[in-house]
Amino acid sequence: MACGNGYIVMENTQIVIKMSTKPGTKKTLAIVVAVIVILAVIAGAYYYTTSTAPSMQTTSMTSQVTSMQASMNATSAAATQPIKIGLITPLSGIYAPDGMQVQQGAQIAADQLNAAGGIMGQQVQIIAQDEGATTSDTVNAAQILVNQQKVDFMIGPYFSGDVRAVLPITTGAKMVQILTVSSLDGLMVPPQNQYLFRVTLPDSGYAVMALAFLNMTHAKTFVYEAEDYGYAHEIGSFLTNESASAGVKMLSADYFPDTASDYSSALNKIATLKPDAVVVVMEGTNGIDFQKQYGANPGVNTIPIFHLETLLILPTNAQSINAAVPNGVNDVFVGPISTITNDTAAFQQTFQAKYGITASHYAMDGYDGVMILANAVNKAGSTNSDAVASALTTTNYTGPGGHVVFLSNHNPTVGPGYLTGTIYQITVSNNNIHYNIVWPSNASNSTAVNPATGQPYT
Amino acid sequence: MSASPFFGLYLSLISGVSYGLIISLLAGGLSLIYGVMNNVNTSHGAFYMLGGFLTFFAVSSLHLPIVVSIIFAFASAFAIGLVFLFVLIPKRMWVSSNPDSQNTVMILFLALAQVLQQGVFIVYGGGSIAVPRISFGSILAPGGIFISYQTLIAIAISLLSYVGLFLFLRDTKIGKAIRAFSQDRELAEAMGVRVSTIALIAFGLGVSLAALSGSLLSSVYSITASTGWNELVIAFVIVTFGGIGSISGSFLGGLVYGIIYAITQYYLPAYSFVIALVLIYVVLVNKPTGILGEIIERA
Amino acid sequence: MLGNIKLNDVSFVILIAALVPSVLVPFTGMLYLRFIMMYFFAYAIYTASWDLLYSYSGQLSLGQALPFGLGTFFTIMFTQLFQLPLILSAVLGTLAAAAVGGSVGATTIRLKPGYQGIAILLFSQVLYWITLILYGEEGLSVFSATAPSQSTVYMAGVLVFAVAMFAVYMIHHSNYRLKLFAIKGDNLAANVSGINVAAHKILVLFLSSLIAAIGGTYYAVFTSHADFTVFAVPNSFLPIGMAIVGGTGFLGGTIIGSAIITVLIRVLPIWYSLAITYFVYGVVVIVILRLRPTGIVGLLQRKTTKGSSRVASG
Repeated sequence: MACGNGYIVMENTQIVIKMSTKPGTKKTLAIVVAVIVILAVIAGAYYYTTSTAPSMQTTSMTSQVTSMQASMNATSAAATQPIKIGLITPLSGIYAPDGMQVQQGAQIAADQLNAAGGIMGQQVQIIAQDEGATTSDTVNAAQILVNQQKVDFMIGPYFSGDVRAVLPITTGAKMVQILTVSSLDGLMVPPQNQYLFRVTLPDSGYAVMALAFLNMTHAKTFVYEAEDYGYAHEIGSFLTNESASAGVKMLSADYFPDTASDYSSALNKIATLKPDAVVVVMEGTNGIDFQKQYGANPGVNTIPIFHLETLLILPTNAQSINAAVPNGVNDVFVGPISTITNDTAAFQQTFQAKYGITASHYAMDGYDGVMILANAVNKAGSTNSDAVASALTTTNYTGPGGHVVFLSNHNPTVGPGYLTGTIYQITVSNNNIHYNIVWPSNASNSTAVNPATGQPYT
Repeated sequence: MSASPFFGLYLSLISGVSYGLIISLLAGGLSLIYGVMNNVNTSHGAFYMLGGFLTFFAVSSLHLPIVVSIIFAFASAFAIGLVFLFVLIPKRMWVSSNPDSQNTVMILFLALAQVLQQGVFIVYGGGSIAVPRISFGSILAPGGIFISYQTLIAIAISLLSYVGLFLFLRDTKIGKAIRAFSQDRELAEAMGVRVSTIALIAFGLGVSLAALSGSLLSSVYSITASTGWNELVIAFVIVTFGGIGSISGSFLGGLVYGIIYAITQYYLPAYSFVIALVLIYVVLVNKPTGILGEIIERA
Repeated sequence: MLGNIKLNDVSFVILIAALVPSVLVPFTGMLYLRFIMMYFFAYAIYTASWDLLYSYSGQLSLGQALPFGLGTFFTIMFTQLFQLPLILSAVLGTLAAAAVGGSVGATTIRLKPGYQGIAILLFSQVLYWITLILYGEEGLSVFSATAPSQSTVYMAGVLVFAVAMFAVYMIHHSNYRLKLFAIKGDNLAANVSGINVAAHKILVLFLSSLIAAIGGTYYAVFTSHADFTVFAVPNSFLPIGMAIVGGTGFLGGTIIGSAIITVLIRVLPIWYSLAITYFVYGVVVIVILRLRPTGIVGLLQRKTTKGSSRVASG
């Protein structure tokens, strides 16, 4: 340790005496040891990175089945060249439950493909990496998948900001990349969208859902409360631009960092402005926090509220709010971006049987992403990126997540019969949570109820 | 109901004051640990998070009533703190003025925070936990202002804790020993106060106060495995304001923090934390003993 | 000046031992290893900056992410927002970050080490929130069709690493260090002997900020990204952990500590979840510090009872 202070030197001397190493040849020994340590560290990294042992990332009990499946796939895949699909999705942190659904849905697709002989006779292998809590973890994950695991295709990342950060790596490797969660329209511009395809509802579609909600609740004015992400701002600007022609007025738009936990300023503003409706875009636990506080506030909780892209779609989350705040989720509207098709129910059953939990649109879009990719590879007859990208543009696919046909910018078509999203209304009776489908009309099984009166909207 | 023009501000102040009071327990714990051990507990935020999860565990797995669960969280955090101090930190570093030792201890506590955080994640996953409230409903005052019973109870528990802490430090043998030790180490040692015992008690008490904060706030705000770093910074802010080592300083510091935060939250929600940080930075650079350090006698 | 290089000094040997494999890595074709090495370069420089400040002038910074993160941000900002060429952005970014970091540090020199550390941490948190507000969760990314290739970026990294580490080595072994030790030991005595304590403290703060900024700038160059998480509290403690694990006060310690921890948190995620990675990281730091509180290099360096031991043996 550094010297110059008598007290410190005394401490160091004591430590030296305790260690009692041999003097004299110490210097030579020291040099040799130092060199060995450094070379060992480098050699260790070298050794580990040469032993390519691609594996599934598992962090919870529900994925145990997935990892067993994956190792079985890996064994048979090693014999014949497997087609490796890299997947970047949150496997830790607050988005882990949804992130894992993407992986689980993708794995079901891979299993079905492999049971039918694989793609072009080759087995399909999903290799997942954790998107992590920071973008540098995501960049790391992309580096591992592209440079270390040498995957053929990429699915994800989940967050649009992470997609941006990863694009230099995937476009540099000319890798076909499928987005099953990221919704930012702004990503789909040349030159970066050359190999980039989206199979999930984009932000423009979210805005359409919000306008449908406002129409359904006969709202003339609304406020927009969102998390401070690029995609939420994009939805906000779509809403701003389209509200005039839709006959509604946005009174206010507020953005909060997703770590914010105190929404009293937002609630106060709502209580003061008294809009006809509230539209919320907070996809993490921030949405749960917001609803907890909204439901507990008698000044606002009779105003109809719509949560787009929310964790409230999971019954456990709705239950937890109900436990903390009685009627805290009653008559709340939630808008998962999944589109119900004829394949949705069957997929739901398969998923439930395999994982024991309800499938969300994350799982369905993950499944669709793999299937769409597989179809394109089969059509192209090779894994060559240009051939596959070209084949993808002719996609006409219906799966549990919706009917996907790509536009020229590689976004999916939005509208009835394609991708629309679904609006549910939550009702609570005897502490049981019910989700009633209220939109679109071809899927609905119930009429929307006005939270202030308890009566259906006319 | 017609809202008074400042009704939003009143609501913000109420939540700000209640938050400030509860979080001042966290800060008080940090202050206590530093005052006695001369070490900064960088795992303090992790114990806040642990408090929330221990409460959740007691409610959901042990099926204890919520009030008992909060006490459980407090007590088990105390025990966990003692165990980790014993295992992690060499005894000679428990109380030290040597900067090298202090830095090593800080890094060890940080590693502890990582271990706790990731350990909780491995067990509970990344989702947030919901701890039920003790009571539902609220009091409505004229002008649309309301206070929930939960807020009132949480404030009551914090105040009770402060009174308890004050009495503990003033009247019990150990409490007096702690005060004597933090005022004059050598004299206290000469009088027979054992360093290791004092350090253990102070650390255990400090982290259990952090856990109590987390426990009380986990029904209002979500707590996940990654919660805690922000709270650590808030604790620094409050302790700087109130003066390091002073419990009553932390109490008042927390109150002031809550009020300032509430007001800035109301007018400039995005910038509130930044403003609080800048204010504290200015205070620290000009008056390192804290604004309240000279006015308040050390507890 | 070159006479200050002691060829048989442990730190010098370790530096050379780090450089030789670094130059060879691109020829192995191991692309991911190359990526890990780039992290190592950035973080070793970052750690050296903290250690310089702490071990050589007695000033503690608990917010070293401030100059590091500013280096990252300014570089990306100048490239993305002002469309400047990369090298110009990097140079300007480093200088700007050093200026801000040094200035902020300069306001804290009269505080005791603990308070000084917290003051810098608080200011780094101000930046955390401001960059979050300004650039959102996603921060800034540079996507350019004309970006330099990864090989170019890597060799630039080797060069930057070599230059920065040699510079730090020179400072460690220059006669200037004697003045710094005097400041570290006893401000009053130093003042009385005619040393302008305040001026030297500020100088070292600027130096340390400059070196940290170089690390941050390189980090921006090889990730093409900057977001608010670069100012997060754990990122400020990372160089402290690396320095203490390797051994403070020695360049060799900085290099070893950075190497071990970088490899740990970059290699484990290949097979294990991030939760397990960081859990193991915490456990490893605890184990190393419990067994060797002086850090790994501490056991290699000979100490004598005389206070001038490390100075004389270099």
